[in-house]
Amino acid sequence: MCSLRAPASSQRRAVAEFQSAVRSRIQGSWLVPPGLEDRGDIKATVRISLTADGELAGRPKVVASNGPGYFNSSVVRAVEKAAPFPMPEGPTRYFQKLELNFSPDMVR
Amino acid sequence: MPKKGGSIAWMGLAATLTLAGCATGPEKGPTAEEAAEAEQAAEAAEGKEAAGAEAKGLGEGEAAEAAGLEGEKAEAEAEVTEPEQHRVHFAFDSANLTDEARELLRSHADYLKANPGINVVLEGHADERGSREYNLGLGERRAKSVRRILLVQGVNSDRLEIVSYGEEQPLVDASNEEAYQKNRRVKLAYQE
Amino acid sequence: MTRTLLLPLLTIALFAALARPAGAVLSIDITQGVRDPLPVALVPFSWEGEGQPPVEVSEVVRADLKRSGLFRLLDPAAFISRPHKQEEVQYKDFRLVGADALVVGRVRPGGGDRVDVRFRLFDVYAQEQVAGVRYRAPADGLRQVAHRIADTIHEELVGWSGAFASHMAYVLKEGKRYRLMVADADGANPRSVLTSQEPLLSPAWAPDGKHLAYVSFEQGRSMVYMQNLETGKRSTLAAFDGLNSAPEFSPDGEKLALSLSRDGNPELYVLDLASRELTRLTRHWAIDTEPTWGPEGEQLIFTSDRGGGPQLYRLPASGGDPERLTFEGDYNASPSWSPDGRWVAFLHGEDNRFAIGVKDLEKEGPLRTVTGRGPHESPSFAPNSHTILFATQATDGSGELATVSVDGNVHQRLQRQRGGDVREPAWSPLP
Repeated sequence: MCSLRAPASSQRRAVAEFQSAVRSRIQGSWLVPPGLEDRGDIKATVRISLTADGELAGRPKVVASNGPGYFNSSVVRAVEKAAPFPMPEGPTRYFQKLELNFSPDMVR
Repeated sequence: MPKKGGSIAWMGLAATLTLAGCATGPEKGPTAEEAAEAEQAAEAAEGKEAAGAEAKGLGEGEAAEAAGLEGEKAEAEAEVTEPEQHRVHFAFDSANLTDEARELLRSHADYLKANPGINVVLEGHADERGSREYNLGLGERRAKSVRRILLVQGVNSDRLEIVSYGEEQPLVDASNEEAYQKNRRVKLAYQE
Repeated sequence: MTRTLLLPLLTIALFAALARPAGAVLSIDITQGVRDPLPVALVPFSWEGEGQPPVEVSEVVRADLKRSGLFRLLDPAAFISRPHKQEEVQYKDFRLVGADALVVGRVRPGGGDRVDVRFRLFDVYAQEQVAGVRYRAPADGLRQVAHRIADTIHEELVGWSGAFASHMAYVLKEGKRYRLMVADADGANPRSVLTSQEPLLSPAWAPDGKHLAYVSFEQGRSMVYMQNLETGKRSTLAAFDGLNSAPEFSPDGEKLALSLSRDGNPELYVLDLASRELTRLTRHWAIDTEPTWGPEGEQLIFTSDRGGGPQLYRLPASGGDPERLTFEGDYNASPSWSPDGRWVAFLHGEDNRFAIGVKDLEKEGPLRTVTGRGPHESPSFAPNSHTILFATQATDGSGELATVSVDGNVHQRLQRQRGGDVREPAWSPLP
């Protein structure tokens, strides 16, 4: 019984670490368009597929957005520049399909 | 006579209050001081009217006091002399006159009344800080302050013209407190 | 539940948790980024004529983009390839030098004294063309073409025009001489449209970009004139008793708001330019001046000291009760309403020192200052509603112009005239 819980929590930790690493790399690459830094009402969702090594498998795809074209371009570029991403040890299937939700909420 | 004099005094007072009410705001409205001054001026005017031929003599006495240093000259001649200083100055964003300024304006009024051929252009100015357009308004308001005193002193309004240059014609072209103080002014430009 | 069932059930549950159905994705939220300028590779345009081209078009474009403060122009010396047309573009080469965007172009003679310019803008990561335009212009129109190219690039990359193709009017004072000047937005081609020995102030552009109204003291006191910039012809718009000042054209160009003290103290009026009919808007002992129009031509923001000191107020252009807009500081004046209606820029003073202030008219909130305090005056919004032009002083005390972005992030000082004082700037509409 006890041994069954251990993999679950370490799995959750791996997920959280992976999310954090991806977020951090993308944040460092995302040139937020001037004037949109605090527009939390603007949201763009980008879907990406990664290889087992964390490289982009195919181009990022904007699947939903209520923002202007240059905003969408900015998020795609951010993802392209941030790749490849550090994949966790062990099976990576769970970490190869990502949905990134961009919504700028920076202090002016 | 007293009856007529009384109504003139009241008219003078009312005129002052009306003028003040049109042109100024709550903090710039007629003070008790201004009202009292108006009353005094009205009474002086009344006195002159009543005296008729002695008007000149009375004017002479007042000019002697107001002229200060020129007092000796005034005693010797039966003439009012032109004040040397043709400028009054103001505090920042204000059109209020100092006591010194009022005294100077009184002496100008006396001189003008004694020399009816002279007209005056009251040029209003402001220091360079802030909005140029607002400073045009401020210069005009200052010139109007000066005009009010002269009117109350009995100078005919036809002889007084107002022009505001705002901050456009500084006396001193520098950016320090001393220059600003000198530039916040109204010039009494005699047209002879 | 029996033990024999528990283990398989838990295992299934665990797999169910870990092995998602095909197509399910891991979700990550990104709310922060960096504010760095966008890296742009601008390949110097090719010239297919003899000798030197009449204007180095791509250099004018480069200078405009750089001046905006929003772009980092990469050094062409580092470029691996130098394409001039689409077929020649290798996106990989520009990813390698760190470019997000690529600009290429060609300039060649176009018959007679005309010149053809063609440019293209590419997204290096999307690997596609974002914009491409061809122009034909006489040699003396090439700077304007370059400015239009820069405006297009600016707008495609950050969402609004750089207003590089517009103009500025300002007053130049040299000794006792005043000149009303018009120059390109980058300060080039300054030309005098009026010279006077008496003060000139408050130039205001008509929306057609072809007329200026201004205040002139040439007759010994303030009067408002309108001048056709092409012909030089002038007409007097206001020569009433008292002050005639602060002219501003309505967005449709049919009316002029101004401040007149003909009725005793400065009040706001609207002048119908066709009929010359005057409508009075304010009735108050205060100084009411500096009207600026809202985008629909239905409202005005203006300066009034009816509250004791200068503050900003708003009222309907047809008249009505003014609503006070500013409550911070003891001096708020010289408003400029952005053409998109969202912002008002103005002079904000505390203790006799002034900063350029900005208020968001669409959101409640305190005013923001976008400059430090200094000898600043006369803010004027650019037609892109993002850049504010204003007058200030150089270190030697002479007047010069500067710009600041409405978010306060980008500051520029403008090319200085040799000698003299520059003041009273007004940014023209977009051509």
